[in-house]
Amino acid sequence: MNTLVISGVVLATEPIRYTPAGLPLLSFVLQHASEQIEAGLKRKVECEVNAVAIGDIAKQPIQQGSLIKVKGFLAKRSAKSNQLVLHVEQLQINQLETVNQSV
Amino acid sequence: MPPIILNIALDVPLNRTFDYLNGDFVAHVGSRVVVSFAGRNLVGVVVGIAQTSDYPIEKLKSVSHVFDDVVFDKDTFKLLQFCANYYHYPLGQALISALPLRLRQIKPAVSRKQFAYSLADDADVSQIPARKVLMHRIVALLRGQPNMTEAELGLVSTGWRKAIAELVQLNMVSTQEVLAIKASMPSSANAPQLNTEQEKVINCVLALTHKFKPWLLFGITGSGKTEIYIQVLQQILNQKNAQGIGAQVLVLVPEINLTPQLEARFRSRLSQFSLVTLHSNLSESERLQNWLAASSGAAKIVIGTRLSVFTPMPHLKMIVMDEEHDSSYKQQDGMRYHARDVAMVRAKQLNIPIILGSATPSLETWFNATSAPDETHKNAQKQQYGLLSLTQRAVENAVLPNIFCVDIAKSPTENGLSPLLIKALRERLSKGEQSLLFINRRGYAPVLHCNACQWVAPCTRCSARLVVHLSQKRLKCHHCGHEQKIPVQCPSCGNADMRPIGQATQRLEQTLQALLPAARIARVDRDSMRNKNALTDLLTQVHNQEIDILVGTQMLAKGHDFPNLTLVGVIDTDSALYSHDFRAGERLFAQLMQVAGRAGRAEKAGEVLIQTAFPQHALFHTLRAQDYVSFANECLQERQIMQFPPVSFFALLRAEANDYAQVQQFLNQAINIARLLKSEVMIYDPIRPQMERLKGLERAQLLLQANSRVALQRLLKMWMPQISALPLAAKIRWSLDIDPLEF
Repeated sequence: MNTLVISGVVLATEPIRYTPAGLPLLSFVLQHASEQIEAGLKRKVECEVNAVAIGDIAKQPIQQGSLIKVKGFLAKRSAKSNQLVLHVEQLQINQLETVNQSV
Repeated sequence: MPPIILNIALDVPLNRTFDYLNGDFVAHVGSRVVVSFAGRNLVGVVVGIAQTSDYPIEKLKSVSHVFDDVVFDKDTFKLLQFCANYYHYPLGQALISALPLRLRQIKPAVSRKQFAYSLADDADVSQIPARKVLMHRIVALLRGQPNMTEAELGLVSTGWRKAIAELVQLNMVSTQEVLAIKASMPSSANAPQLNTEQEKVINCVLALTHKFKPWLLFGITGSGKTEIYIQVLQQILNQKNAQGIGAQVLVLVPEINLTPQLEARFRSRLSQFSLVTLHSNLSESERLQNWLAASSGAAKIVIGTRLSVFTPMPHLKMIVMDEEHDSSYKQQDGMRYHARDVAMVRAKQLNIPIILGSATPSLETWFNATSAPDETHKNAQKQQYGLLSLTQRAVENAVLPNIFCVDIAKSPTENGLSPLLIKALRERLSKGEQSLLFINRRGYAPVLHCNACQWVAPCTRCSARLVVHLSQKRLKCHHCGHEQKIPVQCPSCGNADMRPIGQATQRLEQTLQALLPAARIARVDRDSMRNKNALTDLLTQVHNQEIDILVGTQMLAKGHDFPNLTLVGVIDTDSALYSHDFRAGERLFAQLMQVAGRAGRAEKAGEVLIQTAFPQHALFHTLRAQDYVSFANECLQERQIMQFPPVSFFALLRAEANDYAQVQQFLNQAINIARLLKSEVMIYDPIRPQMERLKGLERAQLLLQANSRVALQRLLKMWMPQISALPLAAKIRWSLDIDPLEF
């Protein structure tokens, strides 16, 4: 089992690049802030998650400031690294939020 | 009348000749014949004529045809015979493979005839309809210039053939068959002023032109070696023999299609002498024409690659070998000859001088040219090489470029380029000068790597990695030609985000385009130069200042002369420093000297930046000082200590098969035979070469080492027939390489 569902604001995106076989690939950082219940107590949670979208999903308008909700799985950044990266499988962009920000 | 029996050499892998009766034909030694052999018709060459045979005469077959041409004269025949012996290669195969393809075929060898056209005296122009504009134009041209060649007419219009055919039919134009030697350009170029060094060298060579004399012309890059060849050859070509026939000369070059400038210079400077070229880029028809022109004596100058060393030339008076250190002079399959050694033997047999030219001579040649004649040595009476040195650049004020090493361990590179090199490129760009970046790897990146599981894309048939060719989205093996699509995901773990690792020409070109968008960048490698004229076109562009930065492989390193090029950057050569081949250092030094020599050949000073992680390496030390002599002498000392060539002599028995066990067994049997033969030759145990698998075959090899060629040959002479007779010898692929260059 390896599923993570998380929402947040896109903090930064890298320029879109392509894998050698030609799949589009977008790396971005998701900034998450929410309130959660832990041991029956309410608390604040903040974190930044490195995420990557590969394939058609990378062509969605993920921009800095987009409010998005993603579902995906976690994997190591590379064989030599212990950093985790969220690989996006499903993505919902809150269009309204984006428009408001860009206005 | 006793029967006439012809000993015929055939293109079969058997080291013997075959006896046939002459039938009703008249044959000479050197004649081409057609015989029926094992149910097939084969072209063979008569190597002997006898009256008796070891076989019952009534069982001998007759030849089915004898061609009129005698394809080998006595001298060439002797040379090939020597080579077949020395390289332990079947004579028949050696002879036939030295012929142009058209002469190896049974159908009559014809090449398209070429004609020259002249206007008939009584030509009546009014017969030509007024609307036939082209015909009128051609007639007008012919009136002014009789004997127009096809090439000249081709410049008038592409439809000239049809027009001329009509004119010929109307009897208005006469045709005359001409020998298809390319028209030489008018002698426009004037001889440049020689410096005193060059004059001295020319006088030295011309003082001894009537006997065998090997010269080593050791001249730094840009010192005007080509000019020396031209002026010396001019004198030789002016000689005539007693019958008034002019002399012929043979000029050997590593890869002619890479050096169109050299050919052009010979054509323009020696335009009064007919010149032909012989190389693999010619069509078979051209090749046959040129070969016939050389062997008939009609062509006075032959410029060719290694194979042309066997071209019969009845009036050959001098051999010149440019860039004698180049490894492309060594044939890597079939008869594995080294054209330098063959040329030396040929010069000796004909008793003529030979000039080997190079800025970085091979250690073999350097050893021959510098070692003092040793009285105790067996080869004491061997002809001493004459050493001719050119230490200055020919163009006045042109100096050797400054060479710097950029330590990439200290200044990290950005996509393969160090900040220092980028800065230098920008400077050249703003000054309007040209730069060259040398990286000896074509493709986009040498490795496709999955960083999730460390998988790299391997070739399934070779011990090698597949090279990424990104623009075609393909992975290619540069050893066996295997190609596949770039996989969408890692076959091992499924990760889609695989990365091309390392630098190659395409990637460097891309990086530069992004970095210097204003620069006009051209890439020169085997992929971009597929087209026959691509390189010539590109060189013209470079000369017309239409290119700012050249990115290329070794194709760019040789012989080019770009006056406005002032910066050479060398990317990633360190792999050669780790190589286990004892010649890797020598090769790297030669290559870097050649590349560095492209910079600052005219008035502007040149600069060379070499990116390396080992700037302290001894090789770079001598390279920075551009001191070939110290480098060569140090290397020779090492070879002396290690007893490696040129101090000793190698032969390599290579074997390959699908099943490695058979290879092992074969080599073990070969060793056992060799060790029973008493000799001073050292026989090493079999090892696997760097490429353990190639094209799906498992490989291994056996090295023999001796202190003299004679001892080595003596062993091989006894050993080879016994190896050939082994049952496994017929099952696996194997070959013998005398004086191997690669291991």
